[in-house]
Amino acid sequence: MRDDSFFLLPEGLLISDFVDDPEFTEVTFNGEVYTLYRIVRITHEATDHPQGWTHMANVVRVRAPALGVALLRIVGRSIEDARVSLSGIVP
Amino acid sequence: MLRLHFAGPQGHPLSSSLALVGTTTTIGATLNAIRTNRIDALLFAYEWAHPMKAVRATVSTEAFPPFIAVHERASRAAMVHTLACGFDGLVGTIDGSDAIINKIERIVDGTWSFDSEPWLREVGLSRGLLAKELELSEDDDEQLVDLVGTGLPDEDIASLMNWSIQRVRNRIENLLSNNQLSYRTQLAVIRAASLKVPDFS
Repeated sequence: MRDDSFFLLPEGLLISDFVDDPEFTEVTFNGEVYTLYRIVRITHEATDHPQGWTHMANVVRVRAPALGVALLRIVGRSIEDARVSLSGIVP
Repeated sequence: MLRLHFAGPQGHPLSSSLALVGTTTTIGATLNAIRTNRIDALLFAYEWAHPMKAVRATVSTEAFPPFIAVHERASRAAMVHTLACGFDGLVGTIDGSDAIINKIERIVDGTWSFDSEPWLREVGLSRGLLAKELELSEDDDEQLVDLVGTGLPDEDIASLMNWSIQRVRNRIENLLSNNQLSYRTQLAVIRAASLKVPDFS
């Protein structure tokens, strides 16, 4: 996922430095399907991203576990929107 | 000969060649008929699908006959709705008495069920979806499903509940998961369908 708007964040930062709740729901299929994820680490921050994303994070799917990368729009310590690309299924 | 009972608001629309052991025009009388008479199949007007779900739920712990909806036309849409309501079959009056009797006999003896229809299996709809009672675990779950059931988007629900959009979505996901539902619309429809219908009989 190459995007010049994103900058790598230091590893020492905590999830709680960015959001109140590390669990968020991605809504897909025209607002019908709700999938719960948990942030493992917030890896990148964006400035003036053309699609409005503010952060990138490593995530795990909570039910039917899987690994992925999420684009997040964080506003006021709350995740307002997310788009997840799964990269692996946890056996 | 099968002992058939018909329930509907305006008497039965079936041909006289279909011998009925009884007809009821109120929900209360229908419930009473099921409990007191030996009936092989309960036929009912399709427009009564919603109250008949409540009747079936009431007698669920007892032995009850197959519930078969009667519609003018046994269309695919009507079949899907009947399956989702948890009933056993649907017959169309337009098909004629012989076809109706034949189908009722097959439903009663178990040689026909919704599983017999390949196109219906492909839809992947679980039987009785609309007859489910929602499992609500948190205090404000009821308020949340009421708002979903009125058709509000997540953003408006967040505003009304004074929650973040993240909290609204996480809670809806939790409700869907706890109730083994796949789609948000299913949550809304089940909530709307679960509102109790009074019986004015």
